[in-house]
Amino acid sequence: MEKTENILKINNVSVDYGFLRAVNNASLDVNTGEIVVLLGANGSGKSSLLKAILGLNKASNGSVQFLGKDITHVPTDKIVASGICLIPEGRGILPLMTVMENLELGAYYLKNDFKKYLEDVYQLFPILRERGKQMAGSLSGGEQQMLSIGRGMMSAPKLMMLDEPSLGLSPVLVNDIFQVINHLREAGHTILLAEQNARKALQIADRGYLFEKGDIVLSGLVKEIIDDPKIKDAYLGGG
Amino acid sequence: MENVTLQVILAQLINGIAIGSIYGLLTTGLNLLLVVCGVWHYAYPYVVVFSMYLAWLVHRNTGNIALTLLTAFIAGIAISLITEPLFRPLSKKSEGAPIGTFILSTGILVILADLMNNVFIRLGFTAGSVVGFPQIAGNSLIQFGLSSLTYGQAIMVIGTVISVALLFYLLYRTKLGKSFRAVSQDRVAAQLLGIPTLKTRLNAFTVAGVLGGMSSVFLIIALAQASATISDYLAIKVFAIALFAGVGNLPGGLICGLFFGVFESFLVSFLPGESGAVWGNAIAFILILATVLFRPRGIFGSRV
Repeated sequence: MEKTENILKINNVSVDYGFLRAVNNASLDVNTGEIVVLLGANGSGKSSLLKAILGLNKASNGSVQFLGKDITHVPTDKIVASGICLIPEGRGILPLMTVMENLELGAYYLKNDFKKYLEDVYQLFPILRERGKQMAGSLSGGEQQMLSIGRGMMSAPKLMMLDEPSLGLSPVLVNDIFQVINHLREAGHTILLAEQNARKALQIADRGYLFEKGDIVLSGLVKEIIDDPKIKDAYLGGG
Repeated sequence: MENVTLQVILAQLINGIAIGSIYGLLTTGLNLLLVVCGVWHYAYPYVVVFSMYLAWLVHRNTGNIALTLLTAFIAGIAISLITEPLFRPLSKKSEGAPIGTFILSTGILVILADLMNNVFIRLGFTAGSVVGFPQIAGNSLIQFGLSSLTYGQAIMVIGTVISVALLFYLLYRTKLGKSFRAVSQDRVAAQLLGIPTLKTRLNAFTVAGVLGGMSSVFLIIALAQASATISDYLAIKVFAIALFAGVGNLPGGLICGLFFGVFESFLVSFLPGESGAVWGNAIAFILILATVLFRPRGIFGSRV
């Protein structure tokens, strides 16, 4: 990665749920064209941080900068409009709307060029073209995940955030999803990925951050951290 | 004899579609507020009838029919938008419709009912609690034997059918309607798509206001009178139809509203004598009760 233009910068962000601190003074950054992975067990604060970036969780302190602008207190819809999309855990598809309607709503802020992005989505996920008129809720789990990612692509985001995209999928589909993520990067997307499947995630990521109970305990280039005993012990089943 | 029966059936069908469309419009308004804004607006039909009272005041002072109907329409929208900020802090956080909104709505109900029942009389606007409008377009358009179709009825049936068609178009073909449905299915997912929460909320209150305003115009044409009793009746009916169809189910509420209008209209005409009007309601409510008992999520299921 030669071009290191910063796209997202998080400074000392904390997220509290009542008395419970979910994220404790987290700082991280994402550069254009990278895949950055957030690793950590369930409840370690990855999702809370992703939601805080979009303003769905209020940050108790710290700031979030996107493309050089402070977005810490900007409403969610404005942040989405400015080019961040989150493909949420559990996919967040609209079950009683058709596949096509879901994709259309992905392009909520696009003024034109809608068709061009639709073609990109269909190229990556041909099955969505066939399923266009079907209710999204009737799709299989893997197809729903594809729809969720496709819908994210429809907004032509400058930063794609994926929260546990491999959760609940069969091993074959997990491979497919990671291939898709790799493909997205090749197509020019910048990706921030929260994932429990560390082995897979580290294969495609450039850099990683390891969360433990809300703290970032390790960070760096994948090749630097992959041999760290913390990663090995906890998530790769080594040691 | 057969001919007469056919005429009665036709007349009741027209009547039923007209009243059913009003049920449908109001149920949809109620559902929109519920699923898009998280507001259980039980007083919504009271707002509609209160708009008729305001229109009546205009008619009393000007005698202008067009202005009267315009007032009913505008008042429906205006009252809806004025009450929106009251509901906002109550429905902000949680999913679904918090009980606080229902309590606030009941408060609005009490105020509006009191205005209609007492204040209008105290101020000397009206002698009794019923206000009357002139028969609008009361000449008969078509006469079939014993019954006839007046211009007013024809306007109303055509008007309501067009409104229902427009509503379906809005919900399924426009960006606004799609964002309503998206918010109703999954509020968080809708936020992630960038659907603006406050704007969508104001839009939903506006659309509910338009539906209410149209309903009050149609009610003036259909009933040529307004009273607080009508709002009691409408509120219970619309609430029950929403339960019957499945709470928050937008197309379901619309369809069930139409169905109940026609169903009631036939019950009233085919049950003997005066008992029709009384039993009509009772049977309708028994049907609703039975449905909710055996299918707690309604005929079409909650939330679409």
